Amino acid sequence: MIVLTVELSSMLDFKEIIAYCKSLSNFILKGKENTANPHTDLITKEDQDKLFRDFNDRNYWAEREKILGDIDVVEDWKALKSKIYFSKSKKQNFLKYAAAAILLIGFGLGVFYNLPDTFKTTEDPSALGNNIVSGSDKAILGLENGEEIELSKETVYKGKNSSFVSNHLLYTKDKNTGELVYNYLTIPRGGKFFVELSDGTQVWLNSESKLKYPVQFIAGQPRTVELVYGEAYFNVSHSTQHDGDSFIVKQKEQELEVLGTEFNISAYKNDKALYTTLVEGSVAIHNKHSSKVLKPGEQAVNMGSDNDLVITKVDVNYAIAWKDGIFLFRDEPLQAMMHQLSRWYDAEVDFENDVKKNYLFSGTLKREDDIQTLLQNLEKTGEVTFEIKDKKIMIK
Amino acid sequence: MNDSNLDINEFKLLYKALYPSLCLFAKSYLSDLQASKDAVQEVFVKVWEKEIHFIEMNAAKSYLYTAVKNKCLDVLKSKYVRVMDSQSTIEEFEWLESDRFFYKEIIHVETSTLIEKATNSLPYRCAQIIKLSLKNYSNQEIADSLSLSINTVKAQKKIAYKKMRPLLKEHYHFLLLVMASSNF
Repeated sequence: MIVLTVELSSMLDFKEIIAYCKSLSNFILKGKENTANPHTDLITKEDQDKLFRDFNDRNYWAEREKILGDIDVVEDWKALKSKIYFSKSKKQNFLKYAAAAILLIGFGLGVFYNLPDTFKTTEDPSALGNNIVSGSDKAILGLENGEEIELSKETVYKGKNSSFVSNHLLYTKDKNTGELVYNYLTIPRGGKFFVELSDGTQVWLNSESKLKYPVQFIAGQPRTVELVYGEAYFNVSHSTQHDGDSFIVKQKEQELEVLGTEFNISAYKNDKALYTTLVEGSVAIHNKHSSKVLKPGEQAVNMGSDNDLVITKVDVNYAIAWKDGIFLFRDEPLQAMMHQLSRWYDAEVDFENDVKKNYLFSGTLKREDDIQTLLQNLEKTGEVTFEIKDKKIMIK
Repeated sequence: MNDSNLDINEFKLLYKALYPSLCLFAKSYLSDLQASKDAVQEVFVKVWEKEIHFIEMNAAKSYLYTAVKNKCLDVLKSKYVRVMDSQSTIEEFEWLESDRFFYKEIIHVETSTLIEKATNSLPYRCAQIIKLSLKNYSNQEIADSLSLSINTVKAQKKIAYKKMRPLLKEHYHFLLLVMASSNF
């Protein structure tokens, strides 16, 4: 799977470069001296002078015209088109929604228009006391006999039906004939985890989540697991491989029936609603009042058992980005965004100014980045500043 | 199937907008135009295969310039491997690998494109005068070569600046390009 993101810092560099091009072209067209202020240290004075000389050189333009004349956009499109059609069959193998959107942090465009003026270097948060580290693979495995085992990067574990190797917990592929025996996985704040169940179903678990599942499934019965709370991404092993046994994800407020599919469920305790997002395949969701079938790209919002399920169309990339190690936000209120960050970095968040809670942000952040880098990038928008004290992030 | 047609239209839009610039950019690394075209096309194929989303034009540019640079450096590496012992080649390669060169060439291409776009938006006579002036012709030389009076040249230049101002004032063009999401 390939996830492509452009680091924010390089994106900001690029914005500077483009802004500089604008002012440079302005000066050149007006035939003025080279006084365009680049607002950037990405280009040296020497390079600037060289560029300016080129733009005022008739040979440069003649050469450019000649090369452009040799580029046949229409003809080359035909060539490109045949190449991409040829690769179409290969395309199916790619995880369809793996590609991440490349976005900008900021209030739409405004921030970047003003960037050169608002670009202030803020105090380096690393200079301040800070104990916040980014999350990692970890979980507590609750066994059938009540024993609890802590699993993390350093752990090697081999149990009766399962083994934990290189951050993956795998269950032995066996069918059960007797009674169902359950294990639990609890992912703490600042954790994430991957498990492959005995039927081959893969589950990615986000921070602050808990999954209950049988060690082995019983043939001829629906394969039932329970997302007690939190967020999980399921890639369900198709029912045709299990003599038609369907897969069911139970929750307090709803039950979801699957035939072999990929989907994401977000059911955090503090969130007002439970969100189920379907990536591929088909699922049916039932709550007290209604039953709905989801199509790929749709999200079911469950506001609690007194309400009907509401189906909306969404960009699934946003719902599943966490699984691929990125935060992806689009017009996300700062408060909701900080809530997600605090879960992963296991930090507290405190707003000094309530108005800022509703500021909208869009962007891509890498979950592996340390919190300073990430907050510094957010500060570059010029709209917020952060202060870290111990495990607390203050937003000003 | 309609959905995937939509996809290809958006992909084509991206291609049409950036293909010539990216080819020019690649040529600054590879010198050879055909090799540059091949490199840029390969990058576009990758974008299509991986169904990479670009939410707006600058994000697309930032990604594509970087991808084309990496592609070109790969091509050069495979070519240079055998002659790497020569000191001048190593130095040349280090220069091509540097961020400084990367940014300089983006500015070359982007600024030239902006200037051309601005002049092409002008009425014919105005455009002619500005193009000559870009090639460092003096007002007198422009007047002579177009058989105009020097005052006409000056007046036309003024009109041209006025017309181009809004084009150059606005800082960024916002273009929505979403490629994969409609492919359900």
